[in-house]
Amino acid sequence: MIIEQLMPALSPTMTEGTLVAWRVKKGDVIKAGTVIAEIQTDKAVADWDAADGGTVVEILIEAGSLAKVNMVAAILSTKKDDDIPAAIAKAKATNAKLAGSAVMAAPVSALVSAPAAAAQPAVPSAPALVSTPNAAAPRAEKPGRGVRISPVAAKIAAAFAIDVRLVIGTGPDGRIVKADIEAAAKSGSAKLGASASAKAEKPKLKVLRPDASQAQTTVALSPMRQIIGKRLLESKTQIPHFYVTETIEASALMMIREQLNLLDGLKVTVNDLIVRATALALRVHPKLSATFHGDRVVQHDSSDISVAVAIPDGLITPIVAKAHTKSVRQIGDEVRSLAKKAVEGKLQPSEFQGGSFTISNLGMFGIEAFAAIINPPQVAILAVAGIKDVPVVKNGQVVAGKTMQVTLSADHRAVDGADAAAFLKTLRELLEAPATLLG
Amino acid sequence: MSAPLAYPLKPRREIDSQTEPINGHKGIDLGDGMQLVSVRMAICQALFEEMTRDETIYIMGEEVAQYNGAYKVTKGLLDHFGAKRVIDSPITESGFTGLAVGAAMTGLRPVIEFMSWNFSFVAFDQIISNASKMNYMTGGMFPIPLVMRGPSGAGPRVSSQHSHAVEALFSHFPGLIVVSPSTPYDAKGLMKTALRQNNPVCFLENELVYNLQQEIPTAEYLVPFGKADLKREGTDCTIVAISRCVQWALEAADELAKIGISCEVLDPRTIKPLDIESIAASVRKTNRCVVVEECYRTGGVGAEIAAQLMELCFDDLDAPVGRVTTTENPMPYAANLEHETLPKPHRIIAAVKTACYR
Repeated sequence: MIIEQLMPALSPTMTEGTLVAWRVKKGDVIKAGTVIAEIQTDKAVADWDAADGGTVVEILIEAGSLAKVNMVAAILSTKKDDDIPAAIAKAKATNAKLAGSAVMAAPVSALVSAPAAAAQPAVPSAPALVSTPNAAAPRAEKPGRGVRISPVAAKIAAAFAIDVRLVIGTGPDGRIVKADIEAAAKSGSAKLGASASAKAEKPKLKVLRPDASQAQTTVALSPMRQIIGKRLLESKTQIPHFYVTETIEASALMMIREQLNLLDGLKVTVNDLIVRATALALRVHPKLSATFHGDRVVQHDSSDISVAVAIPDGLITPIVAKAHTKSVRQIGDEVRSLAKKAVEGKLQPSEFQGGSFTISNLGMFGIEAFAAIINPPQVAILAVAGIKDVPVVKNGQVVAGKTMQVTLSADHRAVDGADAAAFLKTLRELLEAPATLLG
Repeated sequence: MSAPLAYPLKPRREIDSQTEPINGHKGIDLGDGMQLVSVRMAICQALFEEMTRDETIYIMGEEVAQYNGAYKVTKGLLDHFGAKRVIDSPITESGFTGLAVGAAMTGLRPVIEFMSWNFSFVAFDQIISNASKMNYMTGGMFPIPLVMRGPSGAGPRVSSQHSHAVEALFSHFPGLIVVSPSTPYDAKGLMKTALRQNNPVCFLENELVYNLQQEIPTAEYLVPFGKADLKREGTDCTIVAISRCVQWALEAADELAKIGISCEVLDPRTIKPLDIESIAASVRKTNRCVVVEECYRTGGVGAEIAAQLMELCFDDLDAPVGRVTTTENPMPYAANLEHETLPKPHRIIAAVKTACYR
């Protein structure tokens, strides 16, 4: 008998995945339950257990390729007289139909980078969108629609505690039918909880065990830490800081980031969008794009934005010069290039000295809010916190929303509360209508 | 594995048409309280027994008396019961149906024969507006104990106007009982029940089932309305089949057994009332269902059964309920086209395989 090994849906939202590596090769004889490959889903890398045993007679999806769910990844044969060439031809036809175009056979690196995107929502149709704009896109399954399963199969699956997401449907359009569940129940391969690896594994909390050690560690301040200490002490003690906090509704921001990331080769972060928005807002509120020099304040027409970057020994603020003239993509490229140099200690002084305004973003840690210390001689710094899923009120209805808090620290010698508030209002309006950042 | 039926459809022997009667009310005595009858004889026997039992029963229709019925179902009844109770009518379905409704209102129990149910269409108003409504509209003063009988469905090559199966059509209207037997045993028992009813019954026979033979008891029995019959036991797919389609379903089940699909064949026997509970119980066991009928697909009996199964046992279905019906075209005269139009075994096999994902 010929048994097709179909690319499994290892999570409810998975419509395609990268076949990271094969653990079997042509000619291997495998048993049901053998791990045959590793699959990168939209959430994690998971082992793929074969539901059936047999001899691997053909592998159709190369390691490193992106494949649609239900594509034939490999063919098993259990009998000598199996018509293997016919099975291969049939499988290829199936795959071609599912792919809709040749793009699916391309190595994943040529497509939108899916790995390392744990925090990014999956973008199932991205490859087709980018690479074959004129060809008919593969019939994209609706994300979130769930598993196709017959009513009685669902009932039996519940009775046997079978995770239907791990069962390969053999019915029309991949529908899971009674026979599939019975086979899964027999093999025990899809028991709920049996495949923790298929789900995104939550990293363990690392906490040092309390012990009786009385040891102390003494660390001498590096030159950099000495400078940081001196300058921030001056700033915090000599500058009359005041703080204004604003909450920004970030659903649209996240959506536009997702849409921008559909573009091949583009990886936009929330920070890139905030830098761009800040640069534009500073053009409207030049009082904040300024430096304080004892008896005078210099307003800078150019939004030269210092971006705080954590480095092993402390932090440094490389500058995105003339940020208001740069696109989101340019800003992103520049920030990443500067951050890389900063970490490697290769920044030139011109790349971190100067600047008219600083952004410090701790959003990646998911923190609620914080206030930053002004980076003199600048007169203001923006502290950006994480984006949270929260209930928000829209048109009198409580709905699911996303919010982000930003706190502006300003020097009261140069800036008044109303200036700070007006700046934040503009910033909020830009970030809540993020298409403005693309104009 | 199919369980043996109480009265197998393959009798020990067939009627020898050279030496034995092939019609009339007398079965061929096989001893041990059993007799060999065809459907035609079974219906005649039911009429004979009930006319003997109840003097108010009389038969009327085209050629029912002197010609012994167009299909010889009333063979010998004129001779036995006389011209007062077995009456040849003019060719006027509307007239004699109306006459029968009136007779039923005055306390008689008429049986009228439509030479074919296709001819009942000219009596449609009498059936729908009078027979089925009279008891209701007179506040229960005039029940209508009327049996309307005759062959329904396609005869061989009688073309588009004479091939209608009318189960779905008449079961649409409240006030009518719709009976559609597939075997001699069922035909006799159901006809006797019909003749004791106080409501109008559409008794739908089938020309191509009249000769089907079976061993049935000589002792009196009745078959209740609203009780489906298991014609074959199975585990993988329930085939609900009506009238002549029962034979086709059994043939299909034999073929499907060869590829490892075990079919249960259920015969509802009465379309109205419909024994949906027995059908649902079978589907809860097999998880799959295909309905086979000679009516058309749109608004057919299969459509009704599929809808009720969805309501009653949605969570037990492994596949959508399949329907094998007469295709939606006027019946062609050509034999090969008629074959493809009817819900024959090859189409049933395909539908069952689809339901079983094979």
